[in-house]
Amino acid sequence: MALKRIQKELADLSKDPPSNCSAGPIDDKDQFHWQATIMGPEGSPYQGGLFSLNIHFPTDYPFKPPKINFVTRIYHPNINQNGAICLDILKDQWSPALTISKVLLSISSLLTDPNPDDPLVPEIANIYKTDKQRYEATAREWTRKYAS
Amino acid sequence: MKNQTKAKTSKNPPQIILDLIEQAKQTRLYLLKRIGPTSLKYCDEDGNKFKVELSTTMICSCNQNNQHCIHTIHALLKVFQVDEKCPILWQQQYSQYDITNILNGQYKTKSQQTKTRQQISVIRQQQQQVQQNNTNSEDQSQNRQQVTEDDMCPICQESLVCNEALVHCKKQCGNNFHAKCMKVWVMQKQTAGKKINCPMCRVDWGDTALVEIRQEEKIFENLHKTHNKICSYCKITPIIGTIYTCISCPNYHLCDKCHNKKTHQQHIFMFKHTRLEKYEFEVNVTVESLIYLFPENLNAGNHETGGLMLVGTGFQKQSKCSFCHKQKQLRLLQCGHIADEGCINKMKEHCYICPIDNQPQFIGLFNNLSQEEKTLHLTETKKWIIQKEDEHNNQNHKLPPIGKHFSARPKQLSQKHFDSSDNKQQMKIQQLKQQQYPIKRQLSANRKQLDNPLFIKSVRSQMENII
Repeated sequence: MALKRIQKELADLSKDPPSNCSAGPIDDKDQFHWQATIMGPEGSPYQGGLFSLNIHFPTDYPFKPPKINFVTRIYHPNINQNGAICLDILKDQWSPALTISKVLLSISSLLTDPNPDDPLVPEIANIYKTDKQRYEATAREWTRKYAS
Repeated sequence: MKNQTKAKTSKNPPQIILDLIEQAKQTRLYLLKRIGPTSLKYCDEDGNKFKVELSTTMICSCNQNNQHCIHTIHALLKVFQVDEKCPILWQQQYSQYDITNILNGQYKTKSQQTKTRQQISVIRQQQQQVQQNNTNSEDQSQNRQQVTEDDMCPICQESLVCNEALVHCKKQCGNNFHAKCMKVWVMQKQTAGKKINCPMCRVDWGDTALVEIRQEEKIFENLHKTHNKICSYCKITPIIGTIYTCISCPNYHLCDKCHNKKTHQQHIFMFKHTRLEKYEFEVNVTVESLIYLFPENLNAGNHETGGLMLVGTGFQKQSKCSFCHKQKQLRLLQCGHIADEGCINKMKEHCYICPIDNQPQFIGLFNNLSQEEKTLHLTETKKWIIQKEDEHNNQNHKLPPIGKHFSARPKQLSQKHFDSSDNKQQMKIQQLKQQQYPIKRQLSANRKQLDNPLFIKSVRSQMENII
């Protein structure tokens, strides 16, 4: 079932591609391992950046969430230096009705609106809360440095 | 004359009518439209439409003999409410007087005439009570979203319109899911010891979710594995599990048990397992049943399409004429190809020899031919028999594979197929091919019978008798 659904999602992605991200398998032989790219959303300090992510589907997908992490380094209170993402729908709030394109969309909105109350990197969350201008400047610098 | 009047007004219904009455009671037919006071439009459960008309005889579009069929009996019994024991039911012809009487309800059962109104009011009251009792459960089912063809199961992203049980979120959103998809999700949540959420709206489904899903699955199975048809052999109804339907006789169905007893073997059956499935031909169709046809049809009557089996209306959707691809008025040729009546009429010019494999048709059609044509047909038949004998002597059992009979082939019926020189060339090519590539196919016992020289001799002797 997992493979069938993954192939179905791939077909849907190529039929109706989302505007600010793309995804697909790295190797045609291994459909369970995908690579995705997200464009930094407009109006956020990540604008102009191109972030790539790794996606690993579990064998019991869609009943278990896919494992997603950033490959490109990013300065964000909910994403750590290993690229792990702190997002509820990728953990206990996962639902089989979610698809990769929906998940990428929520990651994109996480970039626009970080959630400093449930941080993965407390230092960045602290700076985001106290000195937003400094956070934005650093985020913009990291984007220029690593993501473009 | 006396005999005729006796036949018309005999007090006891003939066995055929009794069977039809029994069938009409058991079968579910839908009255689509009442076109006029005496003309009705019916639809059966498989979606086939019939037009029934009450005139000097009962006319039904399912046959052209103006004989009573299940639809006419159903119309008389259920629509015109004629009493079961009233001789008008098995009368062959109706006068204007009979028709007006039928329409005025003169032949209604007495109990029906008096009771109907009371009964209806009682039934309505009962229905209202039941409805009131069910209001709670109806509220729950009302929020169910309607399934259209575009709808996907949110879990597996496959279409919801399929041969599978569906469940929906009763608590809140009413979205539909495949029962089997939902079962995996629920079981995974349960083993993890978490609450069971709706994948769409995240509302808690409660602890009984798994039980409810299993119930839905059972209901679905019971609904779709039963067929509201009556087994023509053991009279069991409804038929549960696989249903076998004769492609030639109207409304001849068998249950699995009776079919295994090899009843009604002279005709070909199609089968399906659940109600939503399409009918399929049996795998081991059935040179045997074709063989069975030969002797009895050799002298079959003068009817225009005499002796050739009619492909029943229910199966015309699955099959088409091998020549013109029409899907109406199909008949099964003895070689196993399917032809519509237009093409059969065209075949008359060619002495009823199948254009695809040159097999002559031993049927009542033969009587339609002129003397010259008959001799031509007989010489062709001789050729065919001799060819069969040769094949047998050479122990080359090479008939077309059985499945091939029912695959429509894009060939047009035209003069060139009957051109004898062409045929010879084709035969030579075929023989060459057979020598080069011997077919390593195990022949079934049935097939061997067709190659049996005794059988061929019997056909031959019968042909000689005719000459």
